[in-house]
Parts: sequence; C-alpha cells; structure tokens
Amino acid sequence: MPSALNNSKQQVLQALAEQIEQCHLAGSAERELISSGLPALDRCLAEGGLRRGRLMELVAAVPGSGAARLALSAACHACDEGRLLVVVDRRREFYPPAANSLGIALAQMLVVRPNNAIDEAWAIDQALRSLGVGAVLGWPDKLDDHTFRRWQLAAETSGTIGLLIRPAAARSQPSWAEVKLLITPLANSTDRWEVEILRGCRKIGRKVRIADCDHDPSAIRNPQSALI
Amino acid sequence: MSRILCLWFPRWPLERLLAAQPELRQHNVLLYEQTPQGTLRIVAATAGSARPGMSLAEGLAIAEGKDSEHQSPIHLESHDPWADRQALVDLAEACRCYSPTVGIEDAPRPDCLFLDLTGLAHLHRSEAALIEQMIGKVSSRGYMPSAAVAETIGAAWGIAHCGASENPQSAIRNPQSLSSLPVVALRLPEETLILLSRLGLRRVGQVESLPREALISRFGPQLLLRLDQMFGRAAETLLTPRVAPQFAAELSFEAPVEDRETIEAACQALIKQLVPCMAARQEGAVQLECRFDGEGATPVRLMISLYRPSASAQHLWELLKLRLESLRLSQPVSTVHLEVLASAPLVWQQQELFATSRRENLTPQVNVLIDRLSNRLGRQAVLRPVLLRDAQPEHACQYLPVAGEMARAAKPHAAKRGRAKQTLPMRSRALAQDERPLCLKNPPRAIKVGLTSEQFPQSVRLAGREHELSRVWGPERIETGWWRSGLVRRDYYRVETITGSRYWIFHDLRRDLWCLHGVF
Repeated sequence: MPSALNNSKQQVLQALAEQIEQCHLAGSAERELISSGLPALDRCLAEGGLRRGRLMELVAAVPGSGAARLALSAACHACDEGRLLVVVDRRREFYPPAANSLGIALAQMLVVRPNNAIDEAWAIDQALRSLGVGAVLGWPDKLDDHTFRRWQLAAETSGTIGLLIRPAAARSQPSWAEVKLLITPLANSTDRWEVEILRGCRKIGRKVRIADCDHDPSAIRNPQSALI
Repeated sequence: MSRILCLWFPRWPLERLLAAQPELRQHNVLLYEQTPQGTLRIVAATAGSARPGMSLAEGLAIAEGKDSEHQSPIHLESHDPWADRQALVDLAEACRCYSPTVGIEDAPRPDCLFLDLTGLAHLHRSEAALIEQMIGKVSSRGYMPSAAVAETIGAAWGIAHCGASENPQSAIRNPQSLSSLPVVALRLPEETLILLSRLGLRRVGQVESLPREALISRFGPQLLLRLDQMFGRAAETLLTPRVAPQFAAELSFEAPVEDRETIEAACQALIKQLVPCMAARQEGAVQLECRFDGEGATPVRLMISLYRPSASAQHLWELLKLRLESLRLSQPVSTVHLEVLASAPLVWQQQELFATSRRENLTPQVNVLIDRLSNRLGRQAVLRPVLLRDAQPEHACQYLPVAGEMARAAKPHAAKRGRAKQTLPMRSRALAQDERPLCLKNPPRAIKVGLTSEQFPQSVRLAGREHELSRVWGPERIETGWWRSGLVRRDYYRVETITGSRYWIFHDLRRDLWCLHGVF
C-alpha cells in the first residue's frame, strides 16, 4: 500500500513538473534549440536539446568526474557565429589547452578571474546578459536564490546559455536551471559517465550512460595486471 | 634657432622593467616576444652575450653559461610594448617641468624623448646645466639615457644614437659635424641601410653630396626627407603625447561635497560635456582619468581603460559608475576633473538592411562586456588565453589582458585612422596532444602514491583519503625546460579511482616525488 501511495505521489509530482515546464517553455518557443553535444542526453531532454537563454546545472557527484568536459561539449554548440565563451574561473585552475584540444577555439574564449565570490557572481551575471556571448561556464560553490534567479533572468534576456558546475552538496538544493544533471563517473567501464536528470525532463530521475569516445582502450594499463 | 634635446634610452624595455621591479637587478633578465611565425626571440637581455633578435633558446644557453660562473638566477619576462610606451609617456610627463614641449619618438616602439629647449637656457643658468639637471632626474628613476642637443629633431636623434662622447662617463653626446655621422643616424628602414651599405655609402656626408634626383630614383622619397629633416630643410613636428589634454573638463563645487549622489551627478555632467567634443572629431576615449581633488590632500584618481574607443556618454558613465561603486572617499571633494588620456578614431560600421552574419553585429556587445569586466575586476582579471609551444604543461598557455589591446595599437592622438579588427585576434592554434585535464593545479601538489612492484601507481592519497586505482594510463614522459630553472623530467599518468574520479599525476624523476597536476 505505501508503495502505491508513493507511486501516485510521484505521478502527481511529475505531472506538476511537466505543467511548470510547459509554462516556462511557452515563453521561450522562439529561442533556438541547440544540442547538448551528447546525442544520448539530447534524446532524454524535454525538447531534444537545450534552448538558448537557459541555465544548465551539472552536479559533480565526486571530484574529477569530468563534468567540465560535458559542459564544454554543450558550449561548443552554443558558441557559433562568433559568439564568445566566457569562463569565469575564480579558482584559477581552468586549463585552456585542454579546452582547445576538445575543439573550443581559444580566440573565442574569454577567461575571467574574479578574486571573490561577489565578483564571481557579478561577472557571471554580466556575461549572461551580453548578446555577444554564446555560453558562460562557471564553478560557483554556493548560490543563493536571488543570485540564481538573477542569472536565469539575465540568460533569458540575451539568449546566452549558462553552464554551472556544482559540487555534490548542490544536488538537493533548489535550482533555477532548466536542466539539472547529476554526473557520476563510472569506473572500469566502457561508458564514462552515468548522467541522472534531476530536473528538466518529463522523466525526472531517468539515467543515461554516456561513453567517452576519446579514450583509446588499447592504451589502458591495469595496475592489477601489472602485478602479474 | 631651435634647440632640440634628444634623450635616448638604448635598452628601454629592460630599463623600464628593472625600474618597475628593482628586485630583478640581481637577476639575469631575458625579455622575449613571440614572432608572427610562433617562435620566441629575445628583445633585450641583461646577459652580456645574449643579443636582441636571438632565439630564446640560444639566449638562454648563453645566459646559463654565464649563470654557472656568476650564480645569478635567470628571469624570463614576456615583452609588453604597451607598458613600455606607457612608461615613456609617463616619463615625458615628468620632464614637462623642464620644457613645455616634450615629445616621444614617432616609431612603433619608441625609445626616445624629445624636448624643445629653445629659449629656456637662461632659466637654468645655461643649457648644459639644464641638461645635467634633467639627466640627474631621469637617472634617479633608474634610467640611463644618452643625450644630445641639436637644431633639429633628426640631428639630435642622430647624434644621440651615433655621436661620439669625449667623456665616457658623460651621457651627453658632443655636437659634431653631421656629415661625419654614419648613415644609421638618418632613421632609415633596414632595407635602405643595407642598400646604402652595398653601394659603399657609410657616412651622411657621402649621401648628402650625391645629386638629389639620383637619390629619389634609387631610394625613394624617404631618404631625402630624412636628410632634409636632419639639416633643417624640412620641418618636423614633435609628437607630444599630451601637449595639453585634448579632451578634459573640470567642475568645482562652491564648498567641498561629501554627498555621493552629487559627486556622481558631477561626473555624469562632465562626461556629457566631453562626449560631443570627441564625437565632433570622430574620436573615442580609450583611456580616461577621473580625479577627485580634496582640500590639502593627495587627489584620488580613477583610471578607466576601454577595449575599443567609445564616445558614448552612456557607456562611459556605466564604466565610471562601476569604479565609483567601489571607491571610498576619505574626505570631501572640492573639484572633479575628467580627462581623456588616450583616444583613437571611432570605428564606424555600416548597418546591413538584411544582416547576413551575426558576427559583425555582436562585436559592440562584446566590447561593452570586456570594458565592464576589465574596469570592475581589473585589467589582469579579463584575459585571452594563447597557446605556447611548450611541452611543460604549466607553460603551455599564456594569458594576455584583453583591455589595452586597442590602446596598444592606436595611442594618444597620434593614431592613424583605419578600421580596427572586428574580432579577437586569432593567435591560438590547436596543438596535437594527448588528453589534458580541464583543471590544472599550478603549482603541482605533492601527494602520496602507492606503487605496484613494477612501479606503477596503485593507489593515491588525496585530501586525507586513500583511493584505490582501477585503471592507469601512461606513462607519458615529459622531459623539457632545461633552459629555465632546471631540467624537468616527469612521467605523467592518467589515473582512475574505483569511484570513477580521474586525476592527472606525475612522478618527478629528478626529485623522486609524486605530484597531482590536474583533475579531469
């Protein structure tokens, strides 16, 4: 009996989420739809991709999950026609050669290095508001509702896509992003990631596995086998 | 009779750097730049044998040879022509107390100052005393000029660069027969000098004695122009960076004001006053200074740099307002002074009836964003990454400030008219390389790594926790950097923990140390 109740509760929640989503989408139907760079993920998203002018939150389940790489694949599609990619890097750890090898043209990239969280939030806000920017990539640690909402409105104003990489603690926090994904890396697998859709899909909670095509399996050396 | 003083700073980029960072005087400094072909070459060096124009590797090899004898550390610095020019303009400003007309050399990379001393000698007892006093002031800033006075700019330049000095300790070059100066004193392009040398023409006098028609047909008009400028037959104007501010406005209050809104309103009014003047001359501000004078205290200055010239009152006000938000005024303000320190021709763009490309339309938006970010966060916080051909990961990328690029290309009131580039310059080039992490720890962090019997990583200890590894890729040997502080020999591994996290670690073979260098 409790499981039946849970199921009906889930259904109601999902129906409500869909209604809210439809309300959101109604105002943005004219916005261009772009690919997230991952066909498997595109198929799971409500409209088959991301609309410009929205935020995408990528929650990294563990450090070193490669969430930034997934974000950059979406940025590649968003930064067409000369639009800039703005990377707001407060930690001063972003490494452009790696982005370049993933196909991002550095001539179209602007790296912003704010000194504190206030300047970081302001820089992301300004970049999201600019019509000349295709995507904004940032690593905000803590986010209050006001800032998040302001970013959402800023992105809607200009049509810029905001790609926010968040720590695992942000998983249960409220979000103003249209799409919120939980990125869990997979060990010892041909697939690289398991992406759980926390928000932004008719089937919330759906999981999709994504392969890492760039890795050459022949180069793999297993430390256990090295013992033999 | 005019009296023009030329102050030549033979190693200006280096002197400027050492004056700004005196601690580098104990170092063997090598200033380098990237050529259009992508190679690195030396611009200036303290190492005696490393000469400008050499490749950086060659210069470093020589410097390291000297280094082993003198034990002075080597310091590498990227050449910043914009900072050089800015420092020369500042020095020109400082010399304005000796002459009302101070100019800088009209060259892409100027290293000379010109002062018009006509009729000023009696104010300082004699011309020689005036020059000695001026050289003393310049030397106190850490610069070592070579000086010469002559009747024309060309002659003063020639004597300062090529003239003989009876006393080697003296910075002042003696006026001598201009005819005996080498042809290098004529400020000619390299190809003309080579041609003159091939023809056996080594002295100015030899060239001067040739028929003018023959000189024009063989060398073009520039040689004759330079000759005429040297001998005073053709006029030459001093290029003054700031003779008098072209665009400046001031507003004084009846009584000192503390109210922030009043001060902001004054700034806004001054901008509205300046903008029509600039627009009428089709000029836009590239650098703007706002000064707040109080009573009896040092004035507070705000500097605003723009990515592209602008004569938009709204845009300039937005940038100034951003700076005002973080400004703390310790005392009431009596006068607000606004001055355009550098301007450049405005770039006009024809609007398209049927836009075919969004690229051109986006440029103004990008300019506005860069200006805003640079003015609030600082020039060093808004950067454009440029790849370098360096195998050492932490040196494979260089960051260049985006603001000031335009100012570098077109400087104060001497800017040549022309269309500026519409997009960020494409300097980067995709490098063929293995996968690199998107987050790089700089400097690398020492970690503990558990090894297999074959010396492969088996586990890593990060943030106080032991992580077993499920997969390891590598090693990738990187052996480089012998020309820097020492040879770097590292074996890099991409490792995957049993939770799927991926890290980039390396084994420093020289120090037998394991380090975390990147996080995927």
